[in-house]
Amino acid sequence: MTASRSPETFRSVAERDDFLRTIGDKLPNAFFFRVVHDADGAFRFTYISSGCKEVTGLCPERLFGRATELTDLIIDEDRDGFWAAMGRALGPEASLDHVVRLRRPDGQQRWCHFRSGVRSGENGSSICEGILLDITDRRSVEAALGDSTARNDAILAALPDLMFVMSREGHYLDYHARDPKELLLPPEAFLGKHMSEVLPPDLVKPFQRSFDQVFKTGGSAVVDYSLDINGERHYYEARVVGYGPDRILSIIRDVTESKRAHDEAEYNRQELARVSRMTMLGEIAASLAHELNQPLAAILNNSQAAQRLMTTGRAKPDDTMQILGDIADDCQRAGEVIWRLRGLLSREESARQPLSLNQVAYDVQHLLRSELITRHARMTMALGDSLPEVVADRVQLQQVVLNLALNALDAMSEHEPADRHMVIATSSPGSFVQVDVRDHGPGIATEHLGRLFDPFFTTKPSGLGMGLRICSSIVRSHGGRIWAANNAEAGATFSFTIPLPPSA
Amino acid sequence: MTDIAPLICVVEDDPSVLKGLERLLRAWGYDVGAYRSAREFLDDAGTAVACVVVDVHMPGQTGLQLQAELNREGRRVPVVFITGHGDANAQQEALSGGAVAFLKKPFTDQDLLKAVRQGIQSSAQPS
Repeated sequence: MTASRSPETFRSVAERDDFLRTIGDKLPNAFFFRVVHDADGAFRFTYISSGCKEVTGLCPERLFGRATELTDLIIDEDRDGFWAAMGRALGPEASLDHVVRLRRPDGQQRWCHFRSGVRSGENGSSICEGILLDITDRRSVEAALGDSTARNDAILAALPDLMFVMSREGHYLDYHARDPKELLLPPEAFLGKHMSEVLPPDLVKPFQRSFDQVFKTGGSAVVDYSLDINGERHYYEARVVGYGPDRILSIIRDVTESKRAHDEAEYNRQELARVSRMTMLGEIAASLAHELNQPLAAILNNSQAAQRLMTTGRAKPDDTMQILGDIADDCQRAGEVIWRLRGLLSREESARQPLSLNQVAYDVQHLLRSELITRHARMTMALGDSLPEVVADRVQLQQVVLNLALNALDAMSEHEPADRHMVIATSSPGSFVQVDVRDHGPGIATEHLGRLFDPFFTTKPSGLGMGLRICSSIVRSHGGRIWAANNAEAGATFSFTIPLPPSA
Repeated sequence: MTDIAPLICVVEDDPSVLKGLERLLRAWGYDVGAYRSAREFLDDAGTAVACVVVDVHMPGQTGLQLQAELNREGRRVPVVFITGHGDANAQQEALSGGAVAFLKKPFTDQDLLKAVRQGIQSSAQPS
């Protein structure tokens, strides 16, 4: 707002002078001045408002005595420039608009802006009237802003990401792209438009949800999505933050390469686990064949007994019914053996689902039934009551427990059969389920304890040293932990945990 | 058949295999003693056993250990081994210990009867 008053507002010239003097004296960080440049080249101040002391550190009285006291404060680098500007002001330009740095008597340096007009005075003199503004604060803010702008520019230039400024409602307002080709569309095709006009329909909702979320929580949100570009699938990660009352900054990163690398690593991990599973099952193949042969032998013996009874006319309906019932039971038992093996032998990726680790322990107990007999070892189950379910890959966890159990059996192979005793225990002592596989073997040498889960570490003559490594990678991929410790009495215990799902 | 049926004993830890074998042998007219472990058999069976059908792998005493104990005690009971494992070493040990036959599960009634008859014959012969 500008205010103007006509000269008639003042009742007298004196009153107007008073008014001007008052404003001059009240000016913050500035003072008015009038300086006369005499024909002989000397400068002398004829008016200085009281802000002079605050700006320059000098009392006006000192400047009245010697005008050069002020110009002497100009730092050396700026002095020549100032006098050149003053020379032009006294000459054809008739005005001075120049910034210098003053070194005040207290040592402080101030940025000062001279702004004045020049008019002719008496006897060939010139009168220079104007204001000197202390602009130090403004300069610091400008410098800081310049610094921060330069820094932001540098960050933007370095960012490999696409950036969009959007309204909370989903309109594209601005963008940044290091390489415009990454935009996939020319800017005019999306700027000012709503994302529903730009994005594939199934992406609009997740983005809108993330916008609502960041304004609700004040945090950030991540939207993972993929796009088919020229027949090739590309994966993106959008980080969404809100700022101001209704602005969204959405930073888009192309994560295709890292996703491919991750997928490949995961595939390799699964493949390695599968090969290791095959090897492990190969080691107990004879016992597994035995598990299947037992019910088949019973079925064959029962059916041939029935045949014999029928051909000799001695078959009683009750006996025959009983025989058929037993045959049916053994068929089921053989089926269960195959069903248990099918998962472990399958090439297909199994899915994570809610399951009880007690069931996994039972599965392993069944798989090892014959192996335990052959090895003259006992396995006891100490399973927790009403164990909460975890979300996990059943086959992979069977593999872990089977591996730990076979290691336990190996560890006890040199012991007397009566001492070959192992325990599988489950519990849920916290926000996870824990499985312990305890053996009564010789325990683990202290120097081996820290290396058990390293790749290719083995103490077995024919071992590859991948079993525990794979157990560890399976457990970690489920968010759990695996470790080993020697028991207080004898042997060692291998333990692993699987976290409970968040809702549990 | 006026003769008393020969007593065949079966030693097998798996209850359904044991039951199936007992039925089969009975269907063929034998008297059958069924045992879940070597210990049970050694403690219970008398001298009238014409042949014993034994599983190789059992918890506690194995079939081979049972054979060794019979030999040690001088009990001349013909032994027919049955197994679900394809274990060549066990077969060799069994046969060199005097076993009549070594049958792999699942086996037919004819294989079993042939072995049992052979066992009965050998037990009937004076040594």
